[in-house]
This record gives sequence, C-alpha cells and structure tokens, in this order.
Amino acid sequence: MVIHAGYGEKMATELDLKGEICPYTFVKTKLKLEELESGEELVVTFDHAPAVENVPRSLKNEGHKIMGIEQKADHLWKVRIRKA
Amino acid sequence: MKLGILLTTSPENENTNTVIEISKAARDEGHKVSIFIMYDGVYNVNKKEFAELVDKGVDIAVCALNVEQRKVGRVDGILFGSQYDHACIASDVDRFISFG
Repeated sequence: MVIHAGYGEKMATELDLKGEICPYTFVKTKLKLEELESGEELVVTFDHAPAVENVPRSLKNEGHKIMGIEQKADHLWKVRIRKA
Repeated sequence: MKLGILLTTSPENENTNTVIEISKAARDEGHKVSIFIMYDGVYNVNKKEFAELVDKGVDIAVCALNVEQRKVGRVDGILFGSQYDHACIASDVDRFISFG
C-alpha cells in the first residue's frame, strides 16, 4: 500500500505489523525493505513495545535511516524508515 | 579470540555458574566475550555476577520480548535487544557455545 506524504515528505509504502512480535517485526520489515529501491521510504506500524526500540536500532545497524518514530496511541507506534 | 555464549536456562541451573566462570576466565585471558540471554535465562540478569561481568567488559544482550513476558526489570549495562542481536553475535564470533 502506498500512502500520501505530508508537505515536504516523500511518498511512503506502509506496512502494518500490529499483532506481530519479535523476531517477526524485524524480519517482515527487512523483507518489505528488500522490495523497495534505495531512497524510498517505508512506514511501519507496531503495537509491540520492544519492537519500537529494537527494530529501528537493528535497521540503523543495517545502514538504513530512521526518519522518525511517532506514538499514535497507547501501544501504537509508526516508524518511518528510508532505505539505504 | 571472540567468544559468543547463549544462555537459556534459569539461575538455579548449573549453566549459570558455568557461563559466569567461562566468561571471567576468557576476559582474564584477553578474549572478547558476548553473551545473549533468552527464555528463562533472562532471570539471570539481576544476579550481581552478571553486573560484574559487564564491569569486566563482557557484552551482554537479552531478549526484550522474553524480559517483558517474564516481567523482569531492566538492568544498566545490559542491552535489552532482540534475535537480531543474537544473530549478530553468532555471525561475529570465532567460537559460539550454547547453554540450554
């Protein structure tokens, strides 16, 4: 799914990982990033708190850029990633 | 040499003391030691011996999911990570020992 970006933001692909826990949160994010071109952005929705800390750290270690982490509700976060 | 250790058993298991003593001995010989702890192994993180290993330069990471499931508190100096960290350790070390 492609979502529209706000002013000054690139279009991003969206991945809903609500209900997923470690390690699937990282694995499914990594697999989705493999479908994108370098520089494209992915917005991932998590409801698993450890993933919000660990997935961005692991992706940074893989060379990707974390553009932002936004808490949308109690136990609901969106992480915006730019593929390396 | 880089030594990796996986610990999955709770503190009453003899594995705990073995991991502590191997890690101390390896560090005393100048080797790099990385430990990943998961399943009931996460109950070990509050033992003072693991804090002492951190002070000796041992890198310790635990599975944050297992920590959350078992309601274990966070400990300074220990990374509350994921299976990604486990994979990085296994990929990086020269020898890997599993205690489960």
